[in-house]
Amino acid sequence: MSRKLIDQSKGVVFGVFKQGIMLLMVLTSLLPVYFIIVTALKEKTEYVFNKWGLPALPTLQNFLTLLEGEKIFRWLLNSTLISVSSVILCVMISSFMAYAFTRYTFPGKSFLFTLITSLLVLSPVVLVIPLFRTMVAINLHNTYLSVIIVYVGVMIPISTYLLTSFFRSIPQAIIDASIVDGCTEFQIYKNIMMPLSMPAVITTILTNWLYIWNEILISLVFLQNDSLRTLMSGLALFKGKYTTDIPLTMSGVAVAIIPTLIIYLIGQRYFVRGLTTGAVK
Amino acid sequence: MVRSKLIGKQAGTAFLFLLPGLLLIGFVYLIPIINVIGLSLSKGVGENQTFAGLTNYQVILKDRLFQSAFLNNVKLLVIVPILTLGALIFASILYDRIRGWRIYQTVIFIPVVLAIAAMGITFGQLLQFKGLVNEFLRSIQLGFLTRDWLGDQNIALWTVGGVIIWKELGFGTILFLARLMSVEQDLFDAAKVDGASWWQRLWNVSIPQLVHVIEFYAILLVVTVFSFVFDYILILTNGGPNNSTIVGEFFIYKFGFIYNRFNIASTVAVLYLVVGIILMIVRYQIVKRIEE
Repeated sequence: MSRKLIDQSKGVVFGVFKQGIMLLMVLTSLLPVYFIIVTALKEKTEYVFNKWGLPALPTLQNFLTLLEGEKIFRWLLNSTLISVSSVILCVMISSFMAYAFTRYTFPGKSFLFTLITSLLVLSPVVLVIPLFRTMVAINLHNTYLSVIIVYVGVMIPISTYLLTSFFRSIPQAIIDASIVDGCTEFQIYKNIMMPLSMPAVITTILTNWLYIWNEILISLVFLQNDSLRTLMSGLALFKGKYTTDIPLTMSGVAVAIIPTLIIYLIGQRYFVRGLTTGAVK
Repeated sequence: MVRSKLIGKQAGTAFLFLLPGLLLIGFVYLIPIINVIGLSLSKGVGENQTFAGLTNYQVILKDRLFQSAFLNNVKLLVIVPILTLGALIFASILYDRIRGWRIYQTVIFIPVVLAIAAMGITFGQLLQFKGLVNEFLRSIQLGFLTRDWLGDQNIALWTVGGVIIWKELGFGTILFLARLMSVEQDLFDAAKVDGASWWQRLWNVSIPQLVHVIEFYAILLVVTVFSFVFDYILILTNGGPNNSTIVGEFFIYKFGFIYNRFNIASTVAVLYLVVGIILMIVRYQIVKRIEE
């Protein structure tokens, strides 16, 4: 056999090996998701003898049970309300900050920018005890507002970072032209910067939404009233209560992850950009 | 004179744009940090709060449970090299644009976006002694590998580490892949012409090109291990069995909100705050190098 042929067959073997590894990766990534979905569609009695397979008779009974018996619908509503208002507020406030960091020079600017954007490294757990005491003192615990304030605060560093790095790429000439046209500062922000930065704004919205939708600790601590809970913290407590009815538990899990999966599949590139900005230039 | 006036005016407008954000940062970060330090130096809370100097620190540093919590954070660092290496290999395979690479890319990122609470409950089921992971192992004649993955205090922490790896691998892979795609293709072609094997290209071309991103990813993982593993522990093991999976964050939560020992919990919070600030500085150095 010629050298070339050996190389070729080696290449084929290696190609199969690479495909094999990737298939294994796909299986491991998706297996838990598969388990959630097929289990959620099974009767409790079927699950006893058929744990892995597809449901023989798919049923939506678990979801119906969830809707009547549990507060899951309320939790879903709470999560939606809290995420939507936190995300809107956070993107607004962070885009103001990003605008200031891009457009103006003032003493201590780069220090302040570094300080604020570095805060994303700190664990919310180290802040949560004094924050909780403050919320109790000003009578805000057990209100939507308490978690919204904390979520917005915690997400400002990353959002400001994402938006500033995009704002900086907008050509100065466009801004200069709008100044000549007599735009006020707020008009430049509103009519020039924000519309031109839509990809970055969407990325920031999705990054925020993902964190807030999935968050447990802050909602667990600040919302201790059962009807105020978010879906995730409700689920965390739900887990302890229904360990015997696994299909029911999995239907709750399914309700929690399906919105994320759909949004991810639609907005994949924005998610990826949000999480990789800063590391890849 | 004109210039300084201009800067003054700019600073004024800038301040207006910064104000809402600064107020929130002050409320959520600055005031709590001051208060948590105050609590850590005191006995009692509220009206009963009295200055106690460094007593809490002396107590906590000798505390066995705290020591094992910190040690568990350190042990979990083992995921840093595993994930870095794994992500490098997966990214390099995807970079070869093997058939279906776009689908693989989409799928590998799915665990990253799924809620830890939801996946923790699922893994809790799969990893039970009578769960499906063990059933699967038995069915492929690997029955001797079956374990009580989350219930055995000798391995529970490593199982948690495994779940973190499952969740985080996609992020590293996509991060490295994005960087690889911005490298000049010529570099890889030249190496190919010179007869470099796949592994040689990984070692001699990819890794040197990726070095800053690798550092960035590694520091992010260290941050995750010290600051963002609470959700995994709460859902998967609740710190057990026998406190074998307790970590700093969980210690703070348990002492603060279950035992109502705010001073002790705050002391641990300050110690982890110090770790956080050190990581913040290291991360800043790395990001600065990427930007240059």
